[in-house]
Amino acid sequence: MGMAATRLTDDLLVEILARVPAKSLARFKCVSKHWLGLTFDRSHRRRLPQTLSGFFYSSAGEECFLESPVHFTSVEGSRRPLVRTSSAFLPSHRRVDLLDCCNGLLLCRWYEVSARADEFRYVVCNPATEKWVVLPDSGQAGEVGAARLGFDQASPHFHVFELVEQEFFSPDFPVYLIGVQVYSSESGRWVHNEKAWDEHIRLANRQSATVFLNGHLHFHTYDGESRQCLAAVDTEGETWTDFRAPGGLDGGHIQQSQGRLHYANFHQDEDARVVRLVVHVLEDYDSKEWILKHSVETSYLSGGTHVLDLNVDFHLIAVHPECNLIFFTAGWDTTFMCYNMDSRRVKVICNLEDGKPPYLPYVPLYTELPSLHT
Amino acid sequence: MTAPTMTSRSPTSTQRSSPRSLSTARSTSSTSTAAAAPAEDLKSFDAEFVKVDRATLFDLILAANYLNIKGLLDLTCQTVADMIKDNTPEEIRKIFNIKNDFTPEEEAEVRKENQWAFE
Repeated sequence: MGMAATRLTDDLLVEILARVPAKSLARFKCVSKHWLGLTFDRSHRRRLPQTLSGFFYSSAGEECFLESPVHFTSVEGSRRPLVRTSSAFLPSHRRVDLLDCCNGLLLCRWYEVSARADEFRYVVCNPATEKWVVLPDSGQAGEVGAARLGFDQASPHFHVFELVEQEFFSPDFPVYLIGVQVYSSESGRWVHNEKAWDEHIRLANRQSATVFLNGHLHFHTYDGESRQCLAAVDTEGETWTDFRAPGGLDGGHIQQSQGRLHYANFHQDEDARVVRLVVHVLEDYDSKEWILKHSVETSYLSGGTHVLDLNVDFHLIAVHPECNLIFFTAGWDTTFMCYNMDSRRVKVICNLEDGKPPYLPYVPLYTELPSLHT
Repeated sequence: MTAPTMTSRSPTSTQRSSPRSLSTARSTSSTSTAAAAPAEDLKSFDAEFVKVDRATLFDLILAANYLNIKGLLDLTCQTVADMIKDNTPEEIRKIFNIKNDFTPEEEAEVRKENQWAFE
């Protein structure tokens, strides 16, 4: 049995390993130094399945006109980045703001050295290959509530979404979503579309995570009655859908894990003393029916100490794309932790000290994309 | 496709595997001039074709690679991938006849970095 196996060349081994799930490949790194080397090899790794390697985040230190440094923490807490975190490979700039990360690509606001203070361009880059592209101006005159990136393995092209809001009128008047601008790297152009609903919706949180799934960008919204919903728009900006999200306290977080949309938020028990982290999953996307997946008391997550203020004490970061691990920060000192929904084990990873949200999950992309260049 | 000219070059793998490779090659090779069979028939043919022991499967991979038959290479590699995907590192070493050259500390380090995959 062993003889034919030993005659397999590295290329043939990679042919096999390229077809196993990312979770299996992560285990197989322990097989031998040779197999570990295959996963790092520059020519082989672009064929091998990649998985969550860490999180990009910004510093809570001074910013304004200084460059906001971009930090990276790996999944097990080391600050040793797999890719260069400095934005030095981008064209010279005064400042770079990290906006979104999607399947290995980053979306940033890039401020040229000589530009006016508030003038920026969008840059999409791949830190693993150090390739980037500056996007043309979207020409958007209205208010941009949020800018997000949409990219997946289904296509070598990416899309950038600008969610456009009404102009701010007064604190009493809610700011509704009125349309979207979508950039396609395939056409190199922006398209603008008005929102095609009757009801009013507004963005729930400008910093909250979005999910690009089934060719649609999913994001948190409130409907006309201030109920928590999810809205989705396609890459043409033409097809809009929205559906109810599981109710609960503010601060819901969507994420894609194991191919399905997950929704994590906090619920307060009827006696208003126990707060739980509750996770729902959309098993069947078309049904739009959320199924309860897991529930755990927040006091258990924070090691027995009573959670006083959800906004300060907890920040949900991500669900692992390949397994039932939830990453979050807890406490005023931003302790980075993870919770295993299967084993119900809580683990402290490290302390992020100067970190502040958004924390963007990063899966390296080693393939070359036609739309990026040096 | 004619078999006899191949066997002289690499006796061990192709000689043992040629008859099976040929029947697949005839149905999946791009140079075949036979009429295309219905998709379900081909799919069940493929599934039956790879119901062999692991040694033969590896031989088939080597033969498909040597004979440059992409369809067979895809099929056999996918079959092996499906077979091994739930295995532990130790089981993988047995299957591929690999010696563990990590020290216990080194292996623990790699395992720790990928702990999520073991749970």
